[in-house]
Amino acid sequence: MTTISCLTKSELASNPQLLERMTTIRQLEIDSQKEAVHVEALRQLHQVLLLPEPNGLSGHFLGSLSAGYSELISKLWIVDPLLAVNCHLGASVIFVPEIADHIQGLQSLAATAGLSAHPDVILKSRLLASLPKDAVCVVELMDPFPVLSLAETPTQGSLLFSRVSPSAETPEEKGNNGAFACLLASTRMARQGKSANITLVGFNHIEVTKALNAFVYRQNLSCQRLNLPVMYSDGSQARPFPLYALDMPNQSERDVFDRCESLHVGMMSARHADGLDQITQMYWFQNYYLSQTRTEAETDEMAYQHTREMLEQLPGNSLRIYFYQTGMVPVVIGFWRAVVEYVIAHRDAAPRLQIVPMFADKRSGKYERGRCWC
Amino acid sequence: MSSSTLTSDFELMAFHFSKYDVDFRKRRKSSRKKDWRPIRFAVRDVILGAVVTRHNTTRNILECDVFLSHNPKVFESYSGAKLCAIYILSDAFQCGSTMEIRFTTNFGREARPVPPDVVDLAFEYGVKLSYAKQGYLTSSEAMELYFAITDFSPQARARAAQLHRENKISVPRLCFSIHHADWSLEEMEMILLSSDNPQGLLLGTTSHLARLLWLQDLQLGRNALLGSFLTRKLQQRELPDSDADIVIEIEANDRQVDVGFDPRFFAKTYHTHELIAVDWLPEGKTLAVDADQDLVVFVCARDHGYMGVFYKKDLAVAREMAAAYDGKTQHLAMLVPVDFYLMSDEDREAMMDTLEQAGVSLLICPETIESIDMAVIDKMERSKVTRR
Repeated sequence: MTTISCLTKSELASNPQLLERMTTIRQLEIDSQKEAVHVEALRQLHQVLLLPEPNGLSGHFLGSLSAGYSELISKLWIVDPLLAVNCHLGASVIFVPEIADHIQGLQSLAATAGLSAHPDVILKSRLLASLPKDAVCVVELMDPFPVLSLAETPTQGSLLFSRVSPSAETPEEKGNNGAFACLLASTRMARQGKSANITLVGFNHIEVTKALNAFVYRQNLSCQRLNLPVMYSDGSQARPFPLYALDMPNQSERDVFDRCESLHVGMMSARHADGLDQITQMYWFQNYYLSQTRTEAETDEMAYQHTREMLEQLPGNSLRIYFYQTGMVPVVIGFWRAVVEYVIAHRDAAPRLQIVPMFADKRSGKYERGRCWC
Repeated sequence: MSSSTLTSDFELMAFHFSKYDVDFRKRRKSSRKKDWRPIRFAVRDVILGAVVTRHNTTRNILECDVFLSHNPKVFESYSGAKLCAIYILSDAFQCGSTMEIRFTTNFGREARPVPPDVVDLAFEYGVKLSYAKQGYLTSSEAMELYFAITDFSPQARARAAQLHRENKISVPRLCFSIHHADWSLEEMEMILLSSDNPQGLLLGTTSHLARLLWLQDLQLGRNALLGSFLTRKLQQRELPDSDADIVIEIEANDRQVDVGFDPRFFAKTYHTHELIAVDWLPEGKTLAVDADQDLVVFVCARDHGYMGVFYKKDLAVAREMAAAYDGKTQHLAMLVPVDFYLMSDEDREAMMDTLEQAGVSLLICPETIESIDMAVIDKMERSKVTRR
């Protein structure tokens, strides 16, 4: 059961520390850092909320929601996590200025999920719409003990894993770049209307870049663009990568970049810095931000968003970037996805950007040019 | 296996080890999943098995070039084969492959049949291998075998299958979480059987910004850990040293206790085969469980704040449990963390009186909720970056 109560100005006047603590709880709850940092502080602060019966809280007891409320918010979170964050769905403390957004977000998410008629949506909207005039904040408190509603022990059903035959080595795989073969198989499946994704597990960044480059250009005008989701080995899924999305530049378009300004950019700071510091003018990514523990899809997304921001800051004239690639496949995929989308978005303007990947050759110790992206 | 095959397998194994030594160890370089990686398994000085695997990235399958297992009679049947099979199946899951396994020899150049120990193990667990002669475990066979040798109780097995079918969490992921020591089998069973949505905790997908949901996941993890602490305490045989207060714990000398779980009350059930004097009681109280007696323990891992608010509700659960087990068990108890002592004196005494009236002993684990929380959060963090 979840109780909803509110604290008013008069109550807080008699206990000024309470407002401070509520504010701190709110700040901790919306902090996007790792939860471990705050769990102890939060636990201590939550003790404030846990005052004696009958209502379990100080302040005005507004009402109780059903035992199914947690199930409801977990369903609503899946519908649109961003909106759920913005409307503070599932927070323990909500201040009055946030209430209107909270109700609106709750109702909007419920409508999308087809749960507008859920009793808790109706009751909560009603309770929050009729707060006392001097209310300062609303406190939601839930008993987190597991809800044991499993009606009966599930029985064994049909076959769990559909039977498959051993995979066979296809002619394309023989002597081919493995990443290339994977992409070929994925695009074929997608063309046949089957569910497909890009699973470039176990390949190094050079293989991945070369394979993506081979599939990013349209072979002919009738070739339809494919947006395939990217799956990583940790099971996380990143946003789709556009394949067959760019037109092969003609000679005159390429010539533009031979005459324009160029920039030598290292992929990531503090990686192979001994050699790269001398030949590059800047680094695209800061190692510290990308080398944290998170899912590969999250790393991909960070690299993608950062690259989008960086590309939007480029000057209007044509530019060739020599991109000294140093590894970390999720970062590489996020980077090239943003580049492809940038080129698509600016395809009607004069040629603006060409990126030439530079790959380290272990034998010679030098960097070699890869096929350009523009 | 013929002696000539065995000899050549040992030679191949030795060759793999020396190559690995030159390519990686001497260069102080880490191997990757796509490199041949030789692994040996031993219990003290008894080698139970050795395998060499690599991820074939082109076909996205796992190749196993050497599979040598030894099943000593002093251990349970197929101990070596099971250990090696768990390793290669976990490796196949972890490297992101389809989980198809191909048995090879001569550094992957030639195919060979599935090793007899694996065939026997699969037969023992009722898993049919259709391509054993060709040297393949197909992805579905590998997943079935992985599920079978993980030894879930029938109840938990059915629940795991249900979650897999509902696309909430895959069976191979559940098995991997256990073999990767994220959660023990006992903890996993408690989590699976006591929550409608265990995937939030097991996959670490609940955002901490959804505070109420996140606290529910945390509570579920706390309960599972606290319950397993008690099991470990009951199973561990401690011998007081004659000289002083030192207690000696002897490895691999566990007490024989059958452990079960009753999800209706989040209760651990124990059936003992020898006398056990239960620790963790409040001062002045004792609890001895005789051989062939049962002990049922309601696990309640709350911090003192939540305990203060909800203890009446928890006591109602304890009373309900006492009524349900009336005449069926000899001993009933409620397990709480040491945070119990931070409750107000009044609440604490009220709680102890009520439990005494209901015939339920109170067990107080010396661990704090703070330390348990940190362990759960660490597991949640690790779960986020594990293959699903």
